Formats: sequence, C-alpha cells, structure tokens
Amino acid sequence: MATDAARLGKARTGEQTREEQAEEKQDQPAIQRVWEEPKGIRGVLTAVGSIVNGERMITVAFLFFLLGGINAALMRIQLAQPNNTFVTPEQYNQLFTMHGSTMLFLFAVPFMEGAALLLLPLALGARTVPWPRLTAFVFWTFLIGGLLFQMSWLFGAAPDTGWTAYAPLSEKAFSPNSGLDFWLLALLMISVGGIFASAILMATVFTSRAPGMSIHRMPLFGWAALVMSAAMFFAFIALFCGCVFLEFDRKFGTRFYDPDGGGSPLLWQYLFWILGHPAVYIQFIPAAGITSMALPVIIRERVSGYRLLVAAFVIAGLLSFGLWTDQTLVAALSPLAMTFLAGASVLFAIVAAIAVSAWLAMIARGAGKWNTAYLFILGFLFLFILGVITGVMLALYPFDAQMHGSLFVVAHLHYYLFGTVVFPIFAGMYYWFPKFKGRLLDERLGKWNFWLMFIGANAAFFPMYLLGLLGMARRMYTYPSVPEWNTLNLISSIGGVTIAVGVLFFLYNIVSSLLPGEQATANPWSGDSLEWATDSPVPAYGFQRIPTVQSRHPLWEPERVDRGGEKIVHLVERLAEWPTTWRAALVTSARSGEPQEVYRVAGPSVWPFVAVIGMTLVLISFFFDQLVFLAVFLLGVIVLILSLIGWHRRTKEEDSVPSAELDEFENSYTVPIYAHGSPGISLWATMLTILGFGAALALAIFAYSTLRSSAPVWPPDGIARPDRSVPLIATGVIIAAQVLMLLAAGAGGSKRPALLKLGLGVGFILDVAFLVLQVKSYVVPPLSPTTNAYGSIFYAVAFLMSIIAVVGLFILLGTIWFVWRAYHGTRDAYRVRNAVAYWSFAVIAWLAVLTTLYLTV
Amino acid sequence: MHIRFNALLNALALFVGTFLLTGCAGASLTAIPSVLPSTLNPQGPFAASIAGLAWFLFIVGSIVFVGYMGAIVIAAWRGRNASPRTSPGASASSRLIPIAGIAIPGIILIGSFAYIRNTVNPIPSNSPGALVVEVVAHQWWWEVHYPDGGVTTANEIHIPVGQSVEIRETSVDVIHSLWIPQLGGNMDILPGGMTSMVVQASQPGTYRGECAEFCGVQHARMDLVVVADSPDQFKQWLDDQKTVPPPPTDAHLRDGQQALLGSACVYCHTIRGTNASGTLGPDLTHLASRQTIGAGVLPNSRGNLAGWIVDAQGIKPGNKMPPMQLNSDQLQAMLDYLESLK
Repeated sequence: MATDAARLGKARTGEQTREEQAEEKQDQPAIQRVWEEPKGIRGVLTAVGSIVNGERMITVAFLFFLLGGINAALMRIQLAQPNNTFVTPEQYNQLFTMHGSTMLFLFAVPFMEGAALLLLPLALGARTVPWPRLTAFVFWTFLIGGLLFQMSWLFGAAPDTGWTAYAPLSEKAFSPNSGLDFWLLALLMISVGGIFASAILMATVFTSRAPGMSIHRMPLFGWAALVMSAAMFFAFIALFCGCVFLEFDRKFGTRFYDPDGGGSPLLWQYLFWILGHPAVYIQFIPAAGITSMALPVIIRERVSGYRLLVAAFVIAGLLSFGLWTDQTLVAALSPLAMTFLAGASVLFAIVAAIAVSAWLAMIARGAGKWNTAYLFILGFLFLFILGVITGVMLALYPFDAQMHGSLFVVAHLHYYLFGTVVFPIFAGMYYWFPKFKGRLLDERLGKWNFWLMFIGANAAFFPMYLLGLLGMARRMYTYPSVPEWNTLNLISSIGGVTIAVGVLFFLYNIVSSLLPGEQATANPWSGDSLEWATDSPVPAYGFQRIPTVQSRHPLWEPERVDRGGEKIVHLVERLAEWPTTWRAALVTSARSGEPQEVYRVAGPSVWPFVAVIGMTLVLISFFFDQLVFLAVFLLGVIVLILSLIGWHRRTKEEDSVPSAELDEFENSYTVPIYAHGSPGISLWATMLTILGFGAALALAIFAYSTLRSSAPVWPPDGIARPDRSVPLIATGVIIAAQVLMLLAAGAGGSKRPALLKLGLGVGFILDVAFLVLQVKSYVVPPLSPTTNAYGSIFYAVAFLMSIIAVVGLFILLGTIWFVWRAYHGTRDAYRVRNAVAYWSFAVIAWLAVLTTLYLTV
Repeated sequence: MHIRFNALLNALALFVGTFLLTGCAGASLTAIPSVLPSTLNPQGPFAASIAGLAWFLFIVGSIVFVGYMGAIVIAAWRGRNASPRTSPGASASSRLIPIAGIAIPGIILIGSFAYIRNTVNPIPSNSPGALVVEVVAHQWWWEVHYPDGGVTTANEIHIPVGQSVEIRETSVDVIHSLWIPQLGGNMDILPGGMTSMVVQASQPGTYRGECAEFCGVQHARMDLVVVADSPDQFKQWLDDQKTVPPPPTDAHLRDGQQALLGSACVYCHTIRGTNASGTLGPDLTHLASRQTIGAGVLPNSRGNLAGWIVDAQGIKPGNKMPPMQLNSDQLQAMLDYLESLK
C-alpha cells in the first residue's frame, strides 16, 4: 500500500513537473521556444540546428582523429626497429590504409565542414543555414558512414590497399575480402554527406549574410568556407563516381578499371585524385580562414591585404584541381603536362607566399601575447612553409622521379597536413571553445599541449624527409637493418609518442575546463566578428536580434552593429519578437546583403535520420548476394523515398501564422515573407542540383573519353556502332516537351493557370516518353555492362542520363501537384521557373550524351 | 596545474621498453649487403644529376624557409613584449605583401627553374642503341629478360658499367614501381602497359632496387638486386646465363632433379633443358648464380634455400609459393641439384 501511494505520489509530481515545464515554456521568449531542439532521445534523432549538428560533427570527427592517431602509434611501434614483428604485414597494411583514410575522410574534411556549419552562420550574422534538415542529414551520413568504415576492423576485414586504393590492386581479383567494400560503401555515404555539406555552405554564404554585409565586408572565414565548399562539392562528386565504378567492378563484374577488359587503372587514379588532391591541398584554405579570423584579434590589428587574401583563396581553390595530376606524375604524362604542372606549383607557392606575407604584415604591426591559439598559428606557419617548399621540390619532375613513392612524399604530406589541418584546428579550438561551451581552456595546459605537439611533429616527420632521401620507400611494413634507417625511424617513433602525449594534454584540458573551468564572457578576446556579438554559449537561434553590419570589423565599431537604415533596424527588431510559432530567418542579396525576404526555416524532424537509414540499407545490401541483396536494396529504396516524402510534407506549423499577420508584416516592412518555401533559397537549390548533375555527367563523359583514348578500336571487340534512330526520336521528344513547357511558363504563367496546367501536363507526358525511349536506346541485347570497358562506360553514361530524367520527372510532378492544389499566383511562380530551368539543363545534358555515345562513334 | 614529470618520464620509459621488447622478437632477414641506397650517394650520371638538384633545392629551400619563418618569429617576438593595445590598429595597405608575397617568391622560383632547366638532365625514357632489359613485375618478385641474349632470370639484373641500359617494364597483375635510388629514378609499372627508364652505373657494385608503389601484402619485401659489372664481366655473365645446363651426370644430382621434376615445382618454375616450364614463379635455370632468394629476402645459401622450399610462407607470408612436403633425402638431393644450377 505504502509503496503504491509513493508511486502514485511520484507519478503526480512527475505530471506536475511536466505541467510546470510547459508553463515555464510559455514564459520563455517566443524565439527561445521555437528554436529549442527537442530533449532526450527524440532530440538526439530530430535536432536540425546548424549549431548542434556542427558541434556533433566536430566531436565525432575529433574522435576519429584519435582513432587514426592510434593507428599511427601502432605503425610507429612497428617501425621503431628493423625487422620488427609487432604487427603482421597484413595488419600493418590495414593500419596505414585506415590511418590515411580515417585522417582525411573522417577527420580533416568533415571536421572543417562541421566547423564551417557551426561557425559560418554565426560569423555571417545568420540564425542558421538555409537547409537545417539537410545539416542533420549530413551529420548522420558522416556518423553512420564513419562507423561502417571502422566496423571493418570488427569483421577482421579492414581495407589494406592504401588510402588511394589503386586499381587493379583494389579489384576483386587482388583484394577478394570485403575490406574494400567497407571502404567504398563508407566513402559513398561520406561523399553524399560531403556534397550536401558543401551545398549548404555555399548557399549560406550567398543567401544568409547579415543585412549590410556586402560581399566585400564578409569575414575571411566566409570566403574560405565558400572556396573550400565549392572545391569539395566537385571533388566529392568525382570520388562518388570513381567509387561507384569500383564497387560495380567488384560486385557486378563491370570492367572500368580492369586492363584485361579494356579498362584503365589510370582512370581510377584520375577520378580519385580529382578528389584526393583538393581534399589535401584545399585544407590550406580553411586553415587560412581560421588564421585570418583569430590572428587579427589576438594581435589587435586589422586584416591586411583582404583583397589579395581573397584572391589567394580563390586561386588556391582552382589550382588544387589543376595540381591533381602530380600524383600520377611518374605513371605517364607528357612533357607538356609536366611543364604545366611546374607552372601550377609555382602559382600555388606564390598563393601561399601571399597569405604568409599578409599575416606577417599584420604580425609586424600588431602586438599580442603568445597565448595558445597564437602559438598554434605560429606552429601552423612553421610546418606549412616547410610543407610548401618541399611540395615545390616534388613538383619538379627530375626530383619527383627520385622521390615518388618514398618517405619524402610522406614527410611532405604530413608537414602539409599536420600544418594545415591539425595545428589550425587546435588554434581554432582554443579560440572558439569559450564561445560554444561558455568556458575558457587553461592556458598553462595549452602551452604544454602546443610544445609537445610541435616538437613531436617535427621529430616524427622530419626524419621521414631524410629517410626518403636515403632510399626508403613508403608503405613498408618493415625494413632491413641499416644503421641510418634504424636511428631515424626510432627518432620518428619517439616523435609520434610525443604528439600523442600532447593530445592527451588537450583532452585533459577539455575535461577540466568543462567541469570547473573559468567562465567565459560573450567576447573574451575582444573579437571583431559577429559570432562574438551573441552570448556564450551560443543560443540555438544564434542571434535574437539579427545584427546589421557597416564594416569589415563590426564589433570593433560597436556603435555600428545595431545601426543602419531605419527600415532594416525596424525589420530586425520585429524579427526578434515575431513570428512566435515558427523559426524565421532572413535572406539577403548575394552581393550587397540587402534584405530580400523572410522565410520559415524547417523545424525538428526525424526524417533526415530515416533517410540516412534508408541509404545505409541500400549500401549494406552490397554485402549480400542474390535475393537478400535485392530485398535489402529495395527496402532501403522504399525507406529512402518515404523519408523524402515525410521530410517535405506540409506541417501544421506552416499555416500557424494567420495570413492577415503575414500581409501586415509585408506591408509594414516591404519585405516579402514566405511560410511555405523561399524563392531565393529554392533558386540556389535548383542551381546546385544542376551543377551537381552537370559535374557528374562531365566526369562520366571524361571517363568515357579516357577509356576510348586507350583503346585502339572503338567500339572494341567487333561491337557494332550503337543505333542512332531511337536516340534521335528521343531528342525530338525532349525538345518538344521543353518548348511546350517554356511557352506555358512564359505565356501562361499566373495569368492563365489553365494554359500553364496544360503545358506542364503535356510536357510531363512527353518527358516520360523521352525516358522510355532513352532507356530503350541503351538496353541493347548484345552489349552488357560486363562485356568490356566500353559496355561498362556506355551503360554508365546512359544510365546517369536516365537518373537525371527521373529526378526531373519527380521535380515536375511535385510542381504540377503544387500548381493544381495551391497555386498562389506570382508569389509561387518560382517553382515553375525552377522546374523548367532544370529541364533546360536536362535537354543540354541529353545533347551531350547523344553526341558522346551515338553521334561521334 | 602541476605537471608530474615523473609520470611523463615513466610513460616514455615504458614506450622505449616496448621498442626493445618488440625489437627482440624479429629475426634479421637482411639479404642484400646493407648498403644504404642513398639518393645522395649516387653511382650513376642520372642519379648524380638529381642529387646535385637535390642539394641545390635544399640550399634555396633552407634560405627561403629561414627568411620567412625568421621574419615571422622576430615580428611576433617583438610584438610579444609591446604593451597591449586598447584599440585595434587601423587597416593600412601594406607594401610588404606584394613584395614578400609575389615579387620575392616569383624571382626565386623563376630563377631556380631557369637554373634547373639548364643544368639538370631528366632521366630519359629511352636511349637508342642502349642495352635493353625487360622487367616484368609480379606480386612480389621481378621477372627479368635480356631480349638480345635470349636470357631469362629473376630478381637480379646485371648491367655493364658506363653504358646506358634501357629498362622496359610491364606488370602481370597490379601497379608496381621500380626504384633504384643510387642509379636514378623510379618509374611506375602498369598492367597492360609498357613504361621505360634508362639507368647507368659509373662504378661496379651491387645496388638495391625496390618496389616503390604499394602492391599488396609483401610490397615491403620486393627487392631487386642490381649488379654493375665491368663490360667484360657482364658479357661473361650473359654468356653463362645463355647456356642450358646439361643433364646432371652425377646420380645424386639426378635424384635431386627427379625429385624436383616430380614435384609441384614444375607448375610454376622453369628450368631450361627440362620439362619444368611453369611461368608463375621465377626461372630457376641459373638459380645458384643469384645473390638472393625470395626477391631480396634472404641471401642465397643452402640453409636459406632449404628453409624457403619447406616454409616460404613463414619467411615471406602471403607470397605465392606453397610449402613443399619433402623428406630429408629428397630435400638434400634437391638442394644439391639447385646448387649445381650455376
């Protein structure tokens, strides 16, 4: 009895507290209530904010950094002595493969993306990124992809072909176990996340800057994030294509990289290095972004050479693609390509020199104590300059001909990457930790952290330069006893341990700061950029009152942060209190930062997580055969489609603000407000989709011509030229559909909805007909994707075209549904415009495919 | 915060202890005389030219590094002791950036490139009239042909001192790369393709060649012995290699030959003049004339050869040679026979 009463009592108090909580929620300012993420397990799965997901990304990425570090430590123990048997050859090969892959794909790239998702909106004075649900999606792809990747250890099948996975070593014939499949499927997942993360960051820069922040006033971190994400966007698309080809080779027996089937091992190198090279060399840009934000604040000096730095970032971004060929240098390149390469490396060195000189100019005029963040920046410069100098050496063909494949390359890579990834990240963590956690990190521990890592890095990596010169190849699980090699390897191993001890100091510093650490104020460093204008830790909504910007260093001119045109000031003040039922954010113009519209930002949702589960099912189906494969694959596709529908389903919240209130807002502030989708952001979504598919198609056609150029006869093996009649009919159909839809959208538009409906409807039917004809034109009996490399690439290019068309049909279907059900006239004309624009792209894509596959053979 | 030095030292001591322990476990497997294959100790004209380039690059690189990093450290050091500013400095255009960022590196880079262009001869990929050696890379050994002499051998090439030798390379499985640091250069080897490079030795001697492109589990143990002989010695060696070993007259050796020909050896190995004509493994026709076995893994001695035949997997795990089940007599006879294949 007594216990029952107690339980009842407890239950009642529980109810009461829930009621109390609800009441408390009512008392909170509206903005807090709408932006707060759900609590508990629901919150874990549904949180969509850029801050929470950015924090999750960098936390998980840092854990992967520790894992990659453990791999490295085991390797250094093995190499500390000659003829060592601490690990087996297989284990060593797994260790260096996992070390490289983990550090690059699970730490360097995602950490920088996560840091940008976290920091970029705040530095730009935005409440969030344009696609918060996509941010959650990116995090889940990264987490699950990363776990899938590491899970290979548990199956005793960690990949062991090096992080570059050169074909044909990575083909089924030479790597029969599932290690490579783990590697490929995880990378496919991570590249999808990477593509979307890049899209989010680009759209944030172009749509979400604070009012008054013209592109010339954007902090340098914004430029860095823009260039980085633009490069990674294309790089990940290349990696995705390359990995799909390789997995298909392994799973279905296609012949993309199989020399016996007319495939080309060099094609893998090309596709891989289109990613690999920017992934490595682009790291300079976020590093430079972090440095350009923190350094001026520490030494109390304005940025020098802003324009030159921006130019340097952009050129470095372009060059990182131009330089990719140097990895395949010794393989087979013409003298012309080598001269080009030397020229590109000179340009990259000059870009680096511009950035270094700009920072030197600031340091020379400014003054500041050597705190930990500053020390890490100086350490970055030390390692980076040495890395760039040795990089120029390696770009010289005769020198590379000696050093290619030696430890000299490993030393260069580590000076460059430890310099541009690890040190700036540590600088950034010491600098921004108080902003997000509200507590300062200990400086004394920080100094130990820095000096151990700095000395350790030099001790670990400098001997590798010498070892390379002394003739030691890379990726050797052991080496014969030669006195010079023995000593240098031992020094390198001791350096590795020193780094590890330094990292332990950092972990201890984090823990001790989170427990009883010193409280941080909103702006502990007296910083100039907008993230310091809001509270520490940062609230979920970023800024209650969106800041207005009049200069490049807004907080150093405090009177300017809340000034500006009267209209704008009224607008941001109103947005601090209203709307009270959904998350509102501002779209500003890409160039001048003028407010263009207010829109509803999507709220918490479990669908991004479900979508990633669907994608995971699709990917892991590749581990199975026959029926199980098909069942898991289809289940994954169904989950994915359902989640996409759920993701975009209309919610009650969308209609919760009375339209009279919306109209009143528009009349008072003369800025349109959109509760059902933003034209400005939708335009970027359309453009990025077109860019993404365009890049994928360009790569597929590039792969086609690479394979074609290495074959003596094309099509090879006596295969007949593909028939042109069906593709030509398909061309007529798609063009007719497009003309019809353009006319309907132009002439019909909002004035004559009936005409619009007719045009879109007939256009849709014709486009379906096009798809049917297009599929018919490549499913030709004698040729299959496994016949030879021609068959593989022919199907790949044609199939990609089918995907472009299917995506277009879904877009068209959604638009038609919208026009039928809820067409609001001119306000929503953008939907039709975007759908028709996508199909214009599809027409161009088809003409390119037609020319490549049918007309020029 | 107090740092416990003792704890730190203990951790280091523990780690060094780990080195010693794990180090003892390994057996020394060095075969090729432990010459340091240093690119800075070149033994041929191409390697010497690159070594000269390397020294030039180190000098210029060091000056550039010390110049930039020194300026940064000095500037930061001076700022460290200055009294902290209350208001941030004004944005001023700096003449330093175009000078130190564009002009100086531009001059250094263009000057260096011009110098290099005029002084360094890149390794040629072919040389008319040169001796041609064909190398076919396998996972994890080297098949060697001398097309002019009709000679096939493995894991060891002989070249005449002072002559250009064109090495033509291809692979039967994955991508490899042949690197002979002291003679110059390193060239990727592609399956289904042919690449080539020219090497030349100026001194007689034995040099180490290694695979420099990761090619699978035994990438680390895929060495190639390069022996540079005087032209006369080279000619002698080539003539010796051309000969087909006569059938053994000694009964004991005949037993050895029978043991070999009656075993699985013949599926993978060739001994000219016998019906052993497999091509998956190295040609054994003149095995006894070679310095190493297992692609540089072990010196070619009777004991090592016995160990290799019986348990190649224990010595070079993952290689394609299966263990041979032989009784002691068969093994001894087979070793005698193999040792007679000079």
